[in-house]
Amino acid sequence: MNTVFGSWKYIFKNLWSVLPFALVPGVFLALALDHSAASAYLHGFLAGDPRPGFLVMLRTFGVIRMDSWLGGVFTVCAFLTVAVFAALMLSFAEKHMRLGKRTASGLLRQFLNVLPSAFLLTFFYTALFETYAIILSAILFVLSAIPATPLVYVLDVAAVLFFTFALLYVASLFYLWFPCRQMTGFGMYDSLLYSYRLAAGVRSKLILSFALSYAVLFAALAGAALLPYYAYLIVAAVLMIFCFLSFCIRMLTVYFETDKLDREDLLHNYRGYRL
Amino acid sequence: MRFKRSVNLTADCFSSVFKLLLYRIVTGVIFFSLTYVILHLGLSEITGSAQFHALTSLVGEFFRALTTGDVDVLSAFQETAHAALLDMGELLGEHIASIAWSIVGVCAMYLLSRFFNGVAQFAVLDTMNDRLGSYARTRFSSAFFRNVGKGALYQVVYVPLAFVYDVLSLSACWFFFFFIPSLLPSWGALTVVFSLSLTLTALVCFQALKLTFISAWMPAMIVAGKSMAAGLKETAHCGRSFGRRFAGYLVAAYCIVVVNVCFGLFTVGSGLLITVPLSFVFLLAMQLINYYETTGRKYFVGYNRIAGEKEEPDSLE
Repeated sequence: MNTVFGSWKYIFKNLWSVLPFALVPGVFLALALDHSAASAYLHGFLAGDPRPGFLVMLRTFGVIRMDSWLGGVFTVCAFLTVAVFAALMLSFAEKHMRLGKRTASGLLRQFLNVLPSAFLLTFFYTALFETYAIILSAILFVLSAIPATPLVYVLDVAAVLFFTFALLYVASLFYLWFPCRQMTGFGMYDSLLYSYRLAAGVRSKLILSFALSYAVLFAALAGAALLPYYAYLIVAAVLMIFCFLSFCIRMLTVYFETDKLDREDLLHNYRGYRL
Repeated sequence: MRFKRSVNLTADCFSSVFKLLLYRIVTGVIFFSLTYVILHLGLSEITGSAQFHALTSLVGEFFRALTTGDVDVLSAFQETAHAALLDMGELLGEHIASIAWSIVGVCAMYLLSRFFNGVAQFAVLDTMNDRLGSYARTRFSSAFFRNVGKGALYQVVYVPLAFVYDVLSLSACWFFFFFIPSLLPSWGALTVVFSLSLTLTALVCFQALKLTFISAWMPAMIVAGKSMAAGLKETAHCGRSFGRRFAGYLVAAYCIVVVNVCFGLFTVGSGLLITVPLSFVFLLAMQLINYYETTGRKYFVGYNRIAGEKEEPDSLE
């Protein structure tokens, strides 16, 4: 259970310390979502027409906005802020977990150390998610050529479940790559090999924790897509803030657990107070 | 002995057949969908045009007239078909760029699908190598991700080479089928049967030759941990037991053809779901056994049984 909910425990215990790191990337991630495409797809889906066309599907599932130049700017901003704030937050949380200190001293040095890896990993996960979106949209588009509409609904749901599971599985394979590189200082390939070995024992739990978060995110965003744009934006921003927090913090909690490192943030200090 | 041990290894690693099947179904669905999208986006203006509909309706009308014996339609067909084809040609000329991009996209999807299938074969070979080398069972997924880098590099070189080789061998088969009969005296159906037999023989020989040449490439990369270039060098210089390996692959290719055709015919195609991935697994097993034998390595053939060791004489006790 610690693997699945350990990150949430940390987040809620240290909410006011980690929340500032997630505000900017969360807002930009929400802005990078395409409300008009999601709304059109969902309205059609609920009205009995699950065949909106390939580009609408791609815009709905993808993370790269293609509807306007402003959308493109939001996507670039989301990419940059996710990389920068993930590097900042992970440096901060690592120090807290290793030393039990929530101070900013030495943060900049560690931030500069992990920033290149953060950019690389952000690019990797963006590419992974966009590949998932392209494949899923292509398959849903092929399925929409089937004349029997009830069958299209059933196959659409099956395809979304199957390819989402595949996405989460692949994400779990690379999940500890970043913290492994951050803590060990190994090269990219060696840290990947080591992280793969570490994650092997907790893979099913990792996938379960991803699936729980993704299911909530998917359902909430789908529900919010029926709301007006600004309401959707607020809901999406809140969801994205917590998703960003959970995705980043879980990396560290799972890494500390699998590498059997002591968590100083869980221990009492010598005065008897919790830090 | 090599053939028999390859069969044994295939049977021992039979679960790989189902893993390969699942992998191929998933990648097949993905690449089919992507190709469909590319063609739909690229050619929708052509397939939705009035000229295209006129041409397709003309073809339908032709067959209807042919079956009903409508002489008026048939006599005017040449003229109307010519006009429709001219219109269609004009339309194709206007959309030449989208046609070219669609062709490029389809070729890219084909090469990508071959690439991903090749990486999966690399993973299957690795699991078999673990079985032979240490009698261990490795998970397909871990073997896949362990070899994805090497496999990708190998496929980048192998896929274009194999593509060119396959095109050349198919051209040679085409030559055998259409030109050799013209050199022979006309014996009616016998000539067609002869040319068909010759074509099949040529096709099987070309495939066996290709398999013999690349036989040591993948195993050298996996078993000996060599680089892609070193593996290629080793397979090029692996002249030892060439004839033996070629004979083995020739027999294997014939067996594969017979098994697939029989299963395909007697199960109305459904048996191919098993026999096609099984054929790939069997060829990989042959490559591995050949490599172990050629390089004189010992390998497990069963629990506490190692090939290459002298067997103890039977005891009277």
